[in-house]
Formats: sequence, structure tokens, C-alpha cells
Amino acid sequence: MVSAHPLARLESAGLVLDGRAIVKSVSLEVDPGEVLALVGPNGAGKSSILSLLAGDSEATTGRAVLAEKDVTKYRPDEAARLRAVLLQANQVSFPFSVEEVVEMGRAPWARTPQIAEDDDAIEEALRLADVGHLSERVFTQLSGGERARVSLARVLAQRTPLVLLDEPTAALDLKHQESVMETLRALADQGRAVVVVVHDLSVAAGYADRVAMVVDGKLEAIGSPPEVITAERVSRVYGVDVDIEQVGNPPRPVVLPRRKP
Amino acid sequence: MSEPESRRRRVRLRSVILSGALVVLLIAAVLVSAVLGQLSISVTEVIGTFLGRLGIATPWAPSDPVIVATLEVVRFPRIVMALAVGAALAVAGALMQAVFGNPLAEPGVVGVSAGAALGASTAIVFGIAAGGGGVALLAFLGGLGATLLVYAVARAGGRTEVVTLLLTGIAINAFAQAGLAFVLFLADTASREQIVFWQLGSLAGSIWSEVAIVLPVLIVGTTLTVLLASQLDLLSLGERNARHLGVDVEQLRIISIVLVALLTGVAVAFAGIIAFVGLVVPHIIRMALGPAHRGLLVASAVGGGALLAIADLLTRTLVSGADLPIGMLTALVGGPFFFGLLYQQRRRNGGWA
Repeated sequence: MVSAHPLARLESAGLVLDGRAIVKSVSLEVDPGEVLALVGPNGAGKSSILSLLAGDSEATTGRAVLAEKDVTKYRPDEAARLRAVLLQANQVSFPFSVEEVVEMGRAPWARTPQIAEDDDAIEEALRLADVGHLSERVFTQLSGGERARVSLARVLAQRTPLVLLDEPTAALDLKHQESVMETLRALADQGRAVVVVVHDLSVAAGYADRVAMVVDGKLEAIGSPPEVITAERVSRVYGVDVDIEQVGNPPRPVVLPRRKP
Repeated sequence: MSEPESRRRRVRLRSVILSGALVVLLIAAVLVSAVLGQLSISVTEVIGTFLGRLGIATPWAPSDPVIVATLEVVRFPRIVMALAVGAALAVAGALMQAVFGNPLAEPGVVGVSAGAALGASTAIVFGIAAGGGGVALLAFLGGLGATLLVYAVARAGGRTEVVTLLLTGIAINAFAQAGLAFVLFLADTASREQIVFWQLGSLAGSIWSEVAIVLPVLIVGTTLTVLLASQLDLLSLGERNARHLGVDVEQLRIISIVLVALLTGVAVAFAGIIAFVGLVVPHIIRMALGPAHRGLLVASAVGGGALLAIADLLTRTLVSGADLPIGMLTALVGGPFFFGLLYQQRRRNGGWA
């Protein structure tokens, strides 16, 4: 699955919404087999970068390319077989069961040979997102964290080469936060490309191959976790004094805010 | 047997049982409707006449030409019309709820029926009848206009809040009622009377030539809607998620809106405003079968037909010698049901979400 070309890339992509520049000339590439974490302060434009990559928004300037083609030029079903997207908020209008919701992740593969993988993909997704025990429950009656995991399972069941996730760990407890990040790591190790928006810098640094820091719609820095997550940069961007410890082997930065005694 | 398979099997079994029950209910309603009336006709005579029409001679066929005429000219077309209108309204309701992502969306409540009524009465008053086709066409256009208006005003981010939906419905209903009043004012006495009665909803005087317009629209509309079922399922994840899963949301929206207007328009054109069928029927089916749209739509069509056949039977028999307006009857039952749903929604969402 590893190829010479990046699976997805932004070419000087800019996005203007209601006269406001949300994304300003961002260029980045996502390769098969890597986890790219998008970090940055609230309102920096991380979700908008994700929606450019997903083809939800058309770039006002520049363009977004998915598998060597402008992402907005795909038919919806073609795009759905190339990329899956997990949004921040996930609601379901009618009382579908958890299993039905996860099954919907297989919709893009109807009428393709991959339909044979359906049961396998659903079963695996339920297990990876740790929601197998909820499969008979009704989605609308779940807690926020459970809904987030079921929605993640739906995205996993889609089995696409590119997976885009907007804060998949926001509503999760520590155990599920770690297991979700491990799952994303495993997806990348299978050769898929994962782009994930994360707020916790230590979590991003702990699991990502590369980290892209977005500030005010621009790419402040992109590179390996130790290159991007430095005390100077984090303090400047977030306006909070921090210390950085390097933990593990290879060392990965852990961010510790300096708190008043 | 894997877990999903056993669940699917259970769901399938439940839908078979429910469909069977609905079909039995429907046949019973049809037979009783054919038997009861000012002229009492036996069940065997009904079956004999029906089979005779299909070219199967049976000893049951009645010899009395009055009985044959009563069945073939008066009761049969009325029953078929009740089934078709009920099915059309129930399917339109289920489809509208899917597109609005809200179980309270219903053609009557949000003003689509009133829009269609305005179109139809305009056709009646200005004599654009053309054998019923003109009435149906203007009803469709009126319904389409109302649907587009609700759609443009009430939706935000693929979902419709209950309050916004109902307020939009109030505004559209008020406007359509004003239009209706104006049309009534312009009308002569005869068409005025016709419109007032038809506004209350009635299947009295249904004739085969009208059935011949309603039935094809119902069949085509329902078939197309059922073909959209899996996309409608995905739409309940919200518009963005549906698009991420390969649904051409824009196209689905446009087709669905036209189908809602078509099904509602053709029902209203010949039966007047019959509210709440599109609300009550899909809701009950959803409770029994779950929200997956394929089963929901098919069962709603059958259930809607059965419900309206029973309701029409009641309008003919509750008061002897008089035809009660059927719209009044469905509203009497549907109104409290709507209150219940609203209360339940409010409690669940802790407010007006």
C-alpha cells in the first residue's frame, strides 16, 4: 500500500468563510502508514483543515488532493471509499441500534466486491472501539463517551485508506483515550494514513509520527513531535508557561504546565 | 450463528409478523367497508362481485344489479381511494421525517397539506379542472411550494429543531388559510360549498377516474421512496456524515422534497386535508420495527392504507345516514397523539431541542 506519492495533500490551500480567512495557505502531505496529529489553540482552523482534506469545503485558494485527484472532483461514493471522517459531534435522528449505526459505515461498499468483508469489518470495528457489549443498545440512549466510541467504530468499519478524525478522544476517559490512540497507531501500521485533531499535546506527541501545529489558520510548524513540541513554541503559541519532559524510548515530549504552588 | 445474524433474523421475523398483521387488518377493513352501508351486502356477494370482475365466475356473484352497481360504482372506488390516500400520506410522512431528521415532521402539521389545498381550491374555483388532472397538478405545485418554504426556513445543519419546525408550520398554515379564504371569497356558492367540505377531508364520491390518477402516483412515488431507503438511513447520521458515507445529499434532498409534494398533493387533491396520518402511522411502525427505512416505508404504506380504510368506515357508519368529514376524525385521534409525542420529546431532550 505504501506508494511514492502522498495519499492526500493540501497545496497552498486557503479557506475564506463569510469574508473571514479561516485557513491561510496551508501546504501539507499525508503519507500512507503515518499518523499526523493536528494541534493548536481553539479556533485555530484545525477542523477546517480536516474539512478541506475531506472535501467538505472547497478551498478558496489552492487545492486539496486525494489520491492524485482534486478531492472535490470525486463522486460522493468514490470519495467515501477513499476517506472516512469522524466529526466532533455525532447525533442520530432516529433510535437506530449501535450495530445498525456501525453497519452504516459499510454503506460505501455496497455493490462492490468488498461487501464480503462487511461482517468481518463490523465485528472488528466493534471490538477495536470497545463497543461490542453495546451492540444491541439504542444509540440515542448512550452517554457522550459511548456515542463517540460508536461513531469511531462506524468510521473504522468503513476501512478506507485515509482516516480523518476530529477530536476522537475529547469525551473519553483515560483508558479509552489510550485505546483509541493505539487503534489509530495500529491503522497506520497497517498502511493507512491517519490525520487526527488532538488537544492534548502529550497525547499527540505520544502517538503521532508527525505533529502539525496550526495557529491562526497558518501552519506554525510541522515535523516530528520533539521538533514541534518545544517549551518555547508551546509557551508562545498557547500563552502558558510550560516545561517539557522527554519520556520513553524513542523519547517523546510530555507537556507540563507550570502551575502556581 | 453470529450475533448480527441472530439480531437480523429477529428483526426479520418481527417484520414478517407485523406485515402479516397489517395485511390481515387491511383485508378485514376492506371487507367490512364493502359490506356495511345503507344497502347491506353480504361478504359472499362482495367476494363474488370482486372475483367476477377478475373474470372468475362464482356462484356467489349477486344477481341483483343494484348490489353490483353499489359495489362497483360507489364502494369499491371509495375503498381503493382510502387505501391509496392513506398509503400516500403515511409514506410522505415517513419520508418527510427522514429528510428533516425529526419525527414530528408531517405534511399536515408543517403546512404542506394546506399548501396543496390552496393549489387545489384555486384550480376548482378558476375551473382548471381538466378531468381532475388540473386539481392534482395545482395541489402538487402548492404542496411543493410549501415544502420548499419549510425546508428553506426550518433547517439548520441538516437538522430541524422542533420549535422552528412547528413555528414554520404555523406561519405556512396561516398563509395558506388566508389564501384559501381569499379563494373562497372569490368563489361562487356552489364551488364554495364544495371547497369547504373538501377542506375537512372526505372520500365520499370517489370515482374510478380519480383513483386512476392517485394510484399510479402512489405506486411510482412509494417505489422511488423505498429505493432511497438506505440513503435515508444514512441521512439520520446528519448531512455531513451521510456525505462522508457516499450519499449525494443535495440530490437526495431534491428528490425527496418532490416526492413528498407529489404524494401529499395527489392525496389532498382528491381527499382534502387529512392530517396526522403521516405522523401516527410511521411512529407506530417505528416503535414496532425500528427506524430502518426500508421496512418502515413499506409497512407505513400498508398501515396507512388500513388506517384510512378503517377511519373512512367509521365516518360512514358512526352517524347513520351521514358522512362525517374524515379529516375531522383523524385530527380527533391524531391531535392527542401529537401532544403525547411532543411531551415525550420535550422530556427526553430536556427542552425544545
